[in-house]
Amino acid sequence: MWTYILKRVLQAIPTLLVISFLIFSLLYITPGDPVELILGTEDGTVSEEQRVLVEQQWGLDKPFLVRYADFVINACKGDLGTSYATNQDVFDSIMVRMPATFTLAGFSMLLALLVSVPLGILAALKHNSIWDSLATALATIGVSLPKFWFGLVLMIFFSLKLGWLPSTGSADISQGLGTFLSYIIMPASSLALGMAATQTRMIRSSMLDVLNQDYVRYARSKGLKERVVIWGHALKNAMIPVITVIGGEIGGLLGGAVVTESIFSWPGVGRLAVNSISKRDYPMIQGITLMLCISYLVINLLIDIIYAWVDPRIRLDKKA
Amino acid sequence: MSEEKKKENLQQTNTPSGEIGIEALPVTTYWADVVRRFRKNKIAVVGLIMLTIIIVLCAGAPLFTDYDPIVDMNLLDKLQPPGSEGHMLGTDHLGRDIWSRLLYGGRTSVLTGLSVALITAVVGVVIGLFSGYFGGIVEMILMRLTDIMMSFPFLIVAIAIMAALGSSQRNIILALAIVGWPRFARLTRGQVLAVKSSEYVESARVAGFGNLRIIFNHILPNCMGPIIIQATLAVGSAILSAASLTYLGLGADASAPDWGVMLSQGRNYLQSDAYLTIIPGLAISITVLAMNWIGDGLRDAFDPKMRK
Amino acid sequence: MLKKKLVSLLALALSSMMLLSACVGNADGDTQGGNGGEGTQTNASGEVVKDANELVIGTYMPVTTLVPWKTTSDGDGYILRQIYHTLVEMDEQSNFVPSLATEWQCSEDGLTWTVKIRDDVYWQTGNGLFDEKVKVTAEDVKFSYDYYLDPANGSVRYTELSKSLKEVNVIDPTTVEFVTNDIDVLWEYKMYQNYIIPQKAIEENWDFENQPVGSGAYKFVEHVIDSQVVLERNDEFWQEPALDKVIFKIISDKSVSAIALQNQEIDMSLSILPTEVGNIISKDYLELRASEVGSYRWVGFNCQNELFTDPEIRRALSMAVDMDSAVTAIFENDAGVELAKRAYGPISYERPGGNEERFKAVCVEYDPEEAERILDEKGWVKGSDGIREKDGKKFSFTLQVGNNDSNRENLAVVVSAQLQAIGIDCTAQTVEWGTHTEDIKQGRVEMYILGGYSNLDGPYRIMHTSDTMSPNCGYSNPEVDALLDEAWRTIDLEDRSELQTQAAEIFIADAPHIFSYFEYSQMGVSKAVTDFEQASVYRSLCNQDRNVGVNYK
Repeated sequence: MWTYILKRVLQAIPTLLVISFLIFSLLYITPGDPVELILGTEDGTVSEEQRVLVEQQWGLDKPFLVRYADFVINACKGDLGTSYATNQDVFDSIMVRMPATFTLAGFSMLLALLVSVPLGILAALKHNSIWDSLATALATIGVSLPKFWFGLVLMIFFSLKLGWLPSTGSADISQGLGTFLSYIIMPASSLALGMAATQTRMIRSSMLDVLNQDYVRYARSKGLKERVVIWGHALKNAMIPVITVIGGEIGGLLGGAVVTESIFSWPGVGRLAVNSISKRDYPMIQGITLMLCISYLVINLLIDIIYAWVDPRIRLDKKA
Repeated sequence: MSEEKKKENLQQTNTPSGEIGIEALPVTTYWADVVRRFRKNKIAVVGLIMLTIIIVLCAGAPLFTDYDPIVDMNLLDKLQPPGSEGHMLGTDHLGRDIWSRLLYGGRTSVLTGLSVALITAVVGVVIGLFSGYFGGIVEMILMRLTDIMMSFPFLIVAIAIMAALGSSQRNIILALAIVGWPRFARLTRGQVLAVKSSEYVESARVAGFGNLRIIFNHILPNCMGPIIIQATLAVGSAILSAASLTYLGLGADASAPDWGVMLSQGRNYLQSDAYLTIIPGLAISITVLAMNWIGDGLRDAFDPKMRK
Repeated sequence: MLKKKLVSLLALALSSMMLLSACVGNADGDTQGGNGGEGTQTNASGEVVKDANELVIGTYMPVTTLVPWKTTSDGDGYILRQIYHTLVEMDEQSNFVPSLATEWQCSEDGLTWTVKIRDDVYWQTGNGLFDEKVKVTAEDVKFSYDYYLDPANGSVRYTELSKSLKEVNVIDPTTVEFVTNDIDVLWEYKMYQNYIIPQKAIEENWDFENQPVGSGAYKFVEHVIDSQVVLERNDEFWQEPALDKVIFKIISDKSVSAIALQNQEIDMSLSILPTEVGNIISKDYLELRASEVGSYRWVGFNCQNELFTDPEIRRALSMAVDMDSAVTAIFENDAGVELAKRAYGPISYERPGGNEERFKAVCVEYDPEEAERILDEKGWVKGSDGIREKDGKKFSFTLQVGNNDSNRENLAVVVSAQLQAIGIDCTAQTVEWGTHTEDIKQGRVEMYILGGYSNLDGPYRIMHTSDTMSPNCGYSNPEVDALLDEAWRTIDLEDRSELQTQAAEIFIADAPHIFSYFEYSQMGVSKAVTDFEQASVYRSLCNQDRNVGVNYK
């Protein structure tokens, strides 16, 4: 087990190198003048003397590969550089916002699972029943409403018409559970809707698959109680593809909550990323991408471990 | 793809040798069976009819509306509610006929949705099948690649592609495909790992079938269920992602009709003229619903275990 | 056994949730921010109860920097003007009014400005920089301007300032003298732009970005990037500021900010969309404030692009656009509030040189038939696909627009549709804001939509060839340049206005822009806000003319 984890961590190193190189090159070819950004002018008054000074100070006059090497070496020391736009330490700026992103991601995942697991199972067990239709309805609605639209509708309804919930901002749990929930419930729901839809469909489908498997039939024919068959045998196996999908979705949640974050003014990394992109704040974009990649890799390592644990047919030490 | 496989399957059932793994069932082939079972599924057939109607309406848009979706812009006749004279679904905030924009917009949106789903599914499934089946170095390389692609935050890839190539429908499809395929790869690989050690795969191997044949004839059909569901979901989510890109200001052509553009431009009118967003929203919902029903039908039809 | 595993799986999921929440709890309670501060509470029934003496301002502009010599964005200015002093401020009629300066005079020859400053202004204390009250003196003014004059310090106003300013002399502790290289009619504008900073901070290598210290009525408390900036009352200010706290909440989506305003989460929203105007007016606790100066928006041609080098072609394309109807369609609202005026020229009607009648006389009128006739005459004939072509080259180009203003996006859609109607293949493309401004600067656009430049130096930047900062996109006319150069050296306001109008007339006839509209952006303000007659926060909230407060009683 530990050797496996160590191996995976070692494997992550080349992955991260490739990722950082790709980002670095992408940003290099993206139009935008960092000097103007550092000087803070959007209209373009940069004299030659200012330009030279800034380029030396920030190492922008060095060749591409040297700059990349510098970036990697510093990143290894935990230094992701300084933001062009705010002059703040990139690592610190990101870490301030990570908790908000993680909270939102975790909470909406939880919401989604709370809906999708029972609904998916019911829909599969009672094939072609009302539950089945409900699951289909949810899945359809969930995947056909854009997040920005759903978010605005929620806001108009719960903030404007009913006045129950604050429309923007965030609170942390130390301000009391009620306050925390009142701020997080709308953004989390707008994120969870699409996920719950996908998950319900996946769970229903793979539950149906599993219920047709020989071992389930065998278990049933042996006269085991239906409850034991479903919870003991079927669900566990049905969760395998679902866990895979969840793994993918976490990546999407961390980097993809951008729209939700900007609608609800949620102070997460996604908004920071969008704003950094429009400000051409390269160190910040690099830092965010890298940190999101690392979070993603760590979460997926955890998922693979869970995977093997749920399904004994998959042996960690045999893989890769 | 089905033609080739049909042949292969025909060969399989027609080979007179007494190999194990060949069903006792006589003439019906797997693929003929799929078609037969799909036809028997009423809801799936309804879904297929709905999708056909949508495609016909959109492809033949000029036949069903007199208005041009872009040029026919009556600025002083804006925000006519649905049911107004001459405008079945009303006009939008710039006085364009919504019905006409809906039809022409479907061309862009349905095309985006279907092509993204198809590209991501084909690429992802093939990669997932190979890495899951072969394991070892193949798996390591392919899954590393998948990891890399998957861990990229979607938006940065999208913006980088738009910045490098300019935004157009083609580049949006490209961006969505690039970020979409790893999901299929992971899903398929997971399925393959679960199926690989099952008896019928073992027996096929013992029978000396080639790797490709085992992958496509024995493993793929047993993994199809979740893949089909994921693919039908991908159609809807691609249409929505394109809409989100428009919301973030990364869309292709702001004047072109497109369901995502309609949603994004109509969002400021949610309180006063909600039909601006409800109509394209419904259009997406109906398309997705049709896809889901087809998906369910296909899932059942493809499932070899349902074969009776 | 299996069940056990599942149960523990769930437990794992739950515990990781707790862990995450704990992380949030640890991450410095303050940085989460976002709720209106301890003064705003949501009671059991969910109603917002205000009992604090604080003003919450919703702004759609992110804070780009808080370093006084690096900012160019209005979004930063709103905040910086509360923390720092400039010598003068501007009132709603664009007159310069006292701030740190009490009076100022220009010498006969127009080269020397003598400025008297207040005697009762102190640097803010309690921040680790100043432990006790230290007076702001003429030395500090000199130091600040000298600092901006050194290119090594990277002031964004260096180029303009160094062109004009020769030297700064301290006459006595409350009098300072500026000597300019030449007559500079916009010298006061520079006194309005440049903030006065403490010398001690520079000497101690102070972090201006994250710990600004100035002499204004409100002190910096915290800045959570893209979330909010909090300021608090400076008790040592020469008069008592009316508010305990000023909070700038950054809400990038304007629809959302209108909702937050109606929900009373914020007291002011800096920009109200045309679609929201009716909703705001219908609330008895809210009102609208229009900005006094219309902000210019235009559709620009890249005059260097071979499609658009000929002014006749540019005029023809301008004729094809029904701009009056477009402006009506985009800005019409149920409440009947005038949100924009049709623009016939590049200078706001409220600014020197802006003259609606004379601009209208030279501006092309809507006439699509005439436009088609000119294009036919010029050899651009419709091909089989309905698109005009000449020498085998199609009349096809992209109209590029930034993504942060839905009104401009609508304009782009209208223009592109109406050009398509006369056989021109024009694609409207929304582009991420950073790329957009960069592309215009580099001349990488064919046709573009831009706005702003309605300050006093606007005419120069938009029309003059040589100005490095200008977004003129390849337009160059020596006649216009000469008139503007002369205007620049003319002290008499009327004469200067006349010269600028003349320059604009030539500019309009050359049609490098399709003149679109002047937007009077609307602020939504809670009626609880007091002493806020001038609809601008780009001014200090507490100065000798006003002392903005809130009264929820």
